[in-house]
Amino acid sequence: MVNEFEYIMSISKTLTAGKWIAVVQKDIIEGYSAKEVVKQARAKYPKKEPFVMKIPSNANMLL
Amino acid sequence: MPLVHIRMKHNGNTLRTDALVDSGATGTFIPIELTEILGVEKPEKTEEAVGAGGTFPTFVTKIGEIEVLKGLSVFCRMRNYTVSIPTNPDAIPHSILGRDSIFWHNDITFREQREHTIFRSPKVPTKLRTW
Repeated sequence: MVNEFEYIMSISKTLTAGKWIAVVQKDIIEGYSAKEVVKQARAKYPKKEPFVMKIPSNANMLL
Repeated sequence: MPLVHIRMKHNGNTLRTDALVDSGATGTFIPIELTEILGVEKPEKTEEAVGAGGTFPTFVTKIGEIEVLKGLSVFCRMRNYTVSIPTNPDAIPHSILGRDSIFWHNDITFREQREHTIFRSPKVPTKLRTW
Protein backbone atom coordinates (compact mmCIF):
# COMPACT_ATOMS: atom_id res chain seq x y z
CA MET A 1 0.00 0.00 0.00
CA VAL A 2 1.36 3.42 -0.95
CA ASN A 3 1.35 5.84 1.96
CA GLU A 4 0.26 9.46 1.63
CA PHE A 5 3.81 10.82 1.38
CA GLU A 6 4.68 8.52 -1.52
CA TYR A 7 1.34 9.23 -3.18
CA ILE A 8 1.82 13.00 -2.98
CA MET A 9 5.39 12.77 -4.27
CA SER A 10 4.09 10.82 -7.28
CA ILE A 11 1.52 13.48 -8.20
CA SER A 12 3.21 16.61 -6.84
CA LYS A 13 3.49 18.32 -10.23
CA THR A 14 -0.29 18.33 -10.57
CA LEU A 15 -0.86 20.20 -7.30
CA THR A 16 -1.22 23.96 -6.82
CA ALA A 17 1.90 25.57 -5.40
CA GLY A 18 1.38 27.60 -2.26
CA LYS A 19 -1.59 25.65 -0.95
CA TRP A 20 -1.61 23.52 2.18
CA ILE A 21 -2.91 20.00 1.88
CA ALA A 22 -4.02 17.37 4.36
CA VAL A 23 -4.07 13.88 2.88
CA VAL A 24 -5.71 10.69 4.11
CA GLN A 25 -5.11 7.75 1.82
CA LYS A 26 -5.79 9.35 -1.59
CA ASP A 27 -8.21 12.00 -0.39
CA ILE A 28 -6.59 15.44 -0.63
CA ILE A 29 -8.08 18.37 1.27
CA GLU A 30 -6.67 21.68 -0.02
CA GLY A 31 -6.68 25.16 1.45
CA TYR A 32 -4.60 28.19 2.32
CA SER A 33 -4.39 27.42 6.05
CA ALA A 34 -2.63 24.42 7.58
CA LYS A 35 -4.89 24.51 10.62
CA GLU A 36 -8.01 24.55 8.49
CA VAL A 37 -7.09 21.59 6.25
CA VAL A 38 -6.06 19.53 9.28
CA LYS A 39 -9.31 20.40 11.04
CA GLN A 40 -11.29 19.27 8.00
CA ALA A 41 -9.27 16.07 7.65
CA ARG A 42 -9.70 15.20 11.33
CA ALA A 43 -13.43 15.84 11.10
CA LYS A 44 -13.73 13.64 8.03
CA TYR A 45 -11.34 10.91 9.23
CA PRO A 46 -11.32 11.09 13.05
CA LYS A 47 -9.37 7.85 13.47
CA LYS A 48 -6.69 8.63 10.88
CA GLU A 49 -3.48 10.62 11.13
CA PRO A 50 -3.40 13.06 8.20
CA PHE A 51 -0.27 13.85 6.23
CA VAL A 52 0.15 17.64 6.00
CA MET A 53 2.36 19.73 3.76
CA LYS A 54 2.57 22.96 1.84
CA ILE A 55 2.93 22.49 -1.90
CA PRO A 56 6.22 24.13 -2.88
CA SER A 57 6.77 25.99 -6.11
CA ASN A 58 8.96 24.39 -8.74
CA ALA A 59 11.35 27.33 -8.65
CA ASN A 60 15.00 26.79 -7.88
CA MET A 61 15.57 26.90 -4.17
CA LEU A 62 18.46 28.24 -2.15
CA LEU A 63 17.97 28.04 1.58
CA MET B 1 14.81 17.02 -3.85
CA PRO B 2 15.85 14.96 -0.78
CA LEU B 3 12.52 14.95 1.01
CA VAL B 4 11.68 12.44 3.73
CA HIS B 5 8.48 11.46 5.48
CA ILE B 6 8.42 12.48 9.14
CA ARG B 7 6.07 12.33 12.08
CA MET B 8 6.18 14.99 14.79
CA LYS B 9 4.72 14.49 18.26
CA HIS B 10 4.22 17.09 20.95
CA ASN B 11 1.93 17.31 23.97
CA GLY B 12 -0.19 14.40 22.76
CA ASN B 13 -0.61 15.90 19.29
CA THR B 14 0.81 14.23 16.22
CA LEU B 15 1.07 14.90 12.51
CA ARG B 16 2.99 13.61 9.55
CA THR B 17 4.64 15.86 7.00
CA ASP B 18 7.59 16.09 4.62
CA ALA B 19 11.05 17.37 5.53
CA LEU B 20 14.04 18.44 3.52
CA VAL B 21 17.31 16.71 4.41
CA ASP B 22 19.66 19.67 4.24
CA SER B 23 23.38 19.23 4.80
CA GLY B 24 23.75 23.00 4.44
CA ALA B 25 21.60 23.71 7.48
CA THR B 26 23.26 23.62 10.87
CA GLY B 27 19.90 23.42 12.65
CA THR B 28 16.46 21.90 12.36
CA PHE B 29 13.59 24.17 11.32
CA ILE B 30 9.84 23.64 11.48
CA PRO B 31 7.24 25.92 9.80
CA ILE B 32 5.27 27.86 12.37
CA GLU B 33 1.95 26.66 10.94
CA LEU B 34 2.81 23.06 11.87
CA THR B 35 3.99 23.95 15.37
CA GLU B 36 0.66 25.68 15.99
CA ILE B 37 -1.18 22.46 15.09
CA LEU B 38 1.09 20.55 17.48
CA GLY B 39 0.57 23.08 20.26
CA VAL B 40 4.26 23.89 20.61
CA GLU B 41 4.81 26.66 23.17
CA LYS B 42 6.77 29.59 21.77
CA PRO B 43 9.30 31.43 23.93
CA GLU B 44 8.86 35.16 24.43
CA LYS B 45 12.13 36.08 22.75
CA THR B 46 13.27 35.33 19.23
CA GLU B 47 16.73 34.44 17.97
CA GLU B 48 18.21 35.34 14.61
CA ALA B 49 18.92 32.64 12.05
CA VAL B 50 20.90 33.21 8.87
CA GLY B 51 19.52 32.06 5.54
CA ALA B 52 20.35 32.69 1.90
CA GLY B 53 18.09 35.75 1.94
CA GLY B 54 19.63 37.23 5.07
CA THR B 55 18.77 36.92 8.73
CA PHE B 56 15.31 36.09 9.98
CA PRO B 57 13.81 35.76 13.46
CA THR B 58 13.02 32.35 14.93
CA PHE B 59 11.60 30.92 18.10
CA VAL B 60 13.99 28.32 19.47
CA THR B 61 12.27 25.65 21.52
CA LYS B 62 12.00 21.91 22.00
CA ILE B 63 9.63 19.52 20.28
CA GLY B 64 8.61 16.24 21.88
CA GLU B 65 9.64 13.83 19.16
CA ILE B 66 10.53 13.65 15.48
CA GLU B 67 10.35 10.28 13.75
CA VAL B 68 11.78 9.73 10.28
CA LEU B 69 9.78 7.15 8.34
CA LYS B 70 10.38 4.75 5.51
CA GLY B 71 6.96 3.74 4.36
CA LEU B 72 5.21 3.85 7.72
CA SER B 73 8.12 2.31 9.67
CA VAL B 74 10.26 4.50 11.89
CA PHE B 75 13.99 4.31 11.10
CA CYS B 76 15.20 7.29 13.08
CA ARG B 77 13.75 8.78 16.25
CA MET B 78 14.81 12.04 17.89
CA ARG B 79 13.30 12.92 21.26
CA ASN B 80 13.02 16.27 23.01
CA TYR B 81 14.75 17.98 20.13
CA THR B 82 15.66 21.64 19.84
CA VAL B 83 14.16 23.23 16.75
CA SER B 84 13.97 26.70 15.28
CA ILE B 85 10.60 28.05 14.21
CA PRO B 86 10.71 30.99 11.78
CA THR B 87 8.24 33.65 12.93
CA ASN B 88 7.30 34.36 9.29
CA PRO B 89 4.94 31.68 7.91
CA ASP B 90 6.52 31.91 4.44
CA ALA B 91 10.14 31.74 5.56
CA ILE B 92 10.70 28.06 4.72
CA PRO B 93 8.84 25.84 2.24
CA HIS B 94 9.40 22.59 4.18
CA SER B 95 10.47 21.37 7.55
CA ILE B 96 14.27 21.14 7.43
CA LEU B 97 16.37 18.43 9.05
CA GLY B 98 19.82 19.89 9.38
CA ARG B 99 23.16 18.65 10.58
CA ASP B 100 22.18 18.73 14.23
CA SER B 101 19.50 16.08 13.82
CA ILE B 102 19.31 13.33 11.23
CA PHE B 103 22.98 13.69 10.26
CA TRP B 104 23.96 12.66 13.80
CA HIS B 105 22.07 9.40 13.43
CA ASN B 106 22.80 8.46 9.81
CA ASP B 107 25.51 8.66 7.20
CA ILE B 108 23.68 10.16 4.26
CA THR B 109 24.44 9.93 0.55
CA PHE B 110 22.60 11.96 -2.06
CA ARG B 111 22.40 10.19 -5.42
CA GLU B 112 21.08 13.05 -7.48
CA GLN B 113 20.96 11.26 -10.84
CA ARG B 114 18.91 8.42 -9.38
CA GLU B 115 16.84 10.75 -7.20
CA HIS B 116 17.74 8.60 -4.22
CA THR B 117 18.87 9.51 -0.75
CA ILE B 118 20.59 6.73 1.16
CA PHE B 119 20.63 6.56 4.96
CA ARG B 120 23.11 4.23 6.64
CA SER B 121 23.67 3.60 10.30
CA PRO B 122 27.09 5.03 11.15
CA LYS B 123 29.88 2.57 11.83
CA VAL B 124 31.04 4.70 14.71
CA PRO B 125 28.40 4.79 17.47
CA THR B 126 26.64 8.15 17.58
CA LYS B 127 27.79 8.91 21.13
CA LEU B 128 31.43 8.63 20.12
CA ARG B 129 31.17 10.91 17.12
CA THR B 130 32.91 14.24 17.21
CA TRP B 131 32.67 17.13 14.76
